[in-house]
Amino acid sequence: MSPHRSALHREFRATSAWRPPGKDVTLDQAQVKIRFEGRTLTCRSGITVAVALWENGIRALSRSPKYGHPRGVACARGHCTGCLMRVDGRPNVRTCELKVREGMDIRRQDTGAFYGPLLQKTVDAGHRFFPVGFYYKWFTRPPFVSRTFLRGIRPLTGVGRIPTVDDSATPMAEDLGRVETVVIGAGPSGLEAAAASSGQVLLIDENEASGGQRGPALDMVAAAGDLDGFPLLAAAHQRLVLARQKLDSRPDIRFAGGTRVIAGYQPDGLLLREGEQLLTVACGKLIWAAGALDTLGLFPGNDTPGLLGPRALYRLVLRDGLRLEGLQVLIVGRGLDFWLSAALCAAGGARPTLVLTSSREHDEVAAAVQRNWPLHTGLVVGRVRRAGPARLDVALRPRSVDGATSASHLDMETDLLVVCNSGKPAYDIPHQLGRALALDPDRGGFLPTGSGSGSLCEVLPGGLTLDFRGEAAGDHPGEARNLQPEAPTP
Amino acid sequence: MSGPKIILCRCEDVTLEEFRAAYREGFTELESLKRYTGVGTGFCQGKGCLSEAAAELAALRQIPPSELRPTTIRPPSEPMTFGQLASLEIPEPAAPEES
Repeated sequence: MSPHRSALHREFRATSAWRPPGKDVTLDQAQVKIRFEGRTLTCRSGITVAVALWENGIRALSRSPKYGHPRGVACARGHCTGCLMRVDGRPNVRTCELKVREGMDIRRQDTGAFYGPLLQKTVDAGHRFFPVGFYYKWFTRPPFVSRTFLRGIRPLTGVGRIPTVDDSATPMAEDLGRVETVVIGAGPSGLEAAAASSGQVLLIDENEASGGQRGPALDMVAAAGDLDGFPLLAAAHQRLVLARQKLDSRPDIRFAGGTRVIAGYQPDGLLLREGEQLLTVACGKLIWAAGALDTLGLFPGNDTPGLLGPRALYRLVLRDGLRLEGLQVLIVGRGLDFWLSAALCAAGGARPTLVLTSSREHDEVAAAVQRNWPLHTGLVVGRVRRAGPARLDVALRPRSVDGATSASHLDMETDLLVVCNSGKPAYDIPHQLGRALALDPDRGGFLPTGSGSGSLCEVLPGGLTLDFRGEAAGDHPGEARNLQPEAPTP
Repeated sequence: MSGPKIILCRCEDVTLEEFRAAYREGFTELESLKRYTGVGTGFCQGKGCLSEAAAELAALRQIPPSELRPTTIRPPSEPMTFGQLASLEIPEPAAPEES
């Protein structure tokens, strides 16, 4: 046995330790004080900085680099730039993932000693005079003009100030050695795939509990008894329950919750991060069942703070403890995430208003009508604008079906807008491990082509309903089958 | 006062209009569009926008989307500090074989 083998036996959480969250997220109700831009704010402990600011009416956490648009939490997953702030002297901190601490000093960054709001507003309004690629065209010769221009423009680009704290306390990375099968993603697909894999299996998910991005939301809606009348939700919850049972029958599978894969190195290396701790692992086979990323769609104002995708909503409410009581939530879209967002908002005490973009889903419509949720159809988001620090002005326009429009325009003010398009698959790690990918816009983005193409990486595309044939996989010990995504609902 | 813009890439503040303008200027590959407009080169390294940008490009070029391949997504997938990088024990690469 290699010396680092024993490292695999580090205390990963057992999957059976998962607890369904109650209707109220159990958070320490103690209050902490934080400093924001010199002001003192009071918030509950145990919530993230982004949620603490949100509940204090502050949604614009940063400004966009060129136009200075206000930005806020959008992905709630540490991917986007919306929540980057300067915390305790450290720049570019993802405040959607950082828990509040007493006395924490939080500041907006890059709002500009040099590149002030005035200049950003000028660029925003006069964007035609700053066309794409202008930095490649203007002031390029003679050379001294170029040098002077670059020297002048660099300080204007808002690259921030360097940290004033010492980061040298990084723990050494730990090597987990080699694992036969690594499954990334503990949603239903990942759970089924892990349960169907023989031998040594390591199951990894960035969430603390299994169940994927929708899991906690489904659990909360089920616990509130609100699955009735929603076949889409009931089926998703049922699948999750069965997948968890399958996994519970395999106590040998190790589950690393709260762990994120941040790099793939050919041929078989993975770099993981659990909090501040980096881990490396070599995998015999990788099963990629990472969930989808939210897609918000392309419409004017699609970067406005307060506009979220469903997965971000689930995380903010169930992981971070955002309170929905009394909020007006406009939910636009269709499918499982649309109804799950609606049911979650209702269970959390918000007032959902629904704009359904599907002409199917009749059972769910009937259930919504029964619950007196205002429901509109034939509309899509046309434009979003801020109507105050924590209010949105949403213009809905008719959705054209075969060239015919079916409804009139509708303007609405709301606290929160949730756009539930079908998500797009995450593909970065399979790509880094050499898996060939091609664009499939019907399924949201880049998906693997063909079968295998010489890579050890097997991919369960996220953002799709997957039909994982667990039984069939059992016929081939040690080999999960390539999975056929179901056709997306039209 | 200008109206709200359609933002394609949030990290680098690239609008859909700018992406289309770059295409009209003759940048017709995803790779060159990425370099010219900055789409997908920001903090998120394209998680937020490359799928959308590729779909838009397929529509502009009127080609089957399956012909489009992603641009290289280099590791790591999220920003790391030099301290973290230094904490990694990188095995010595094997000496290249003489051919």
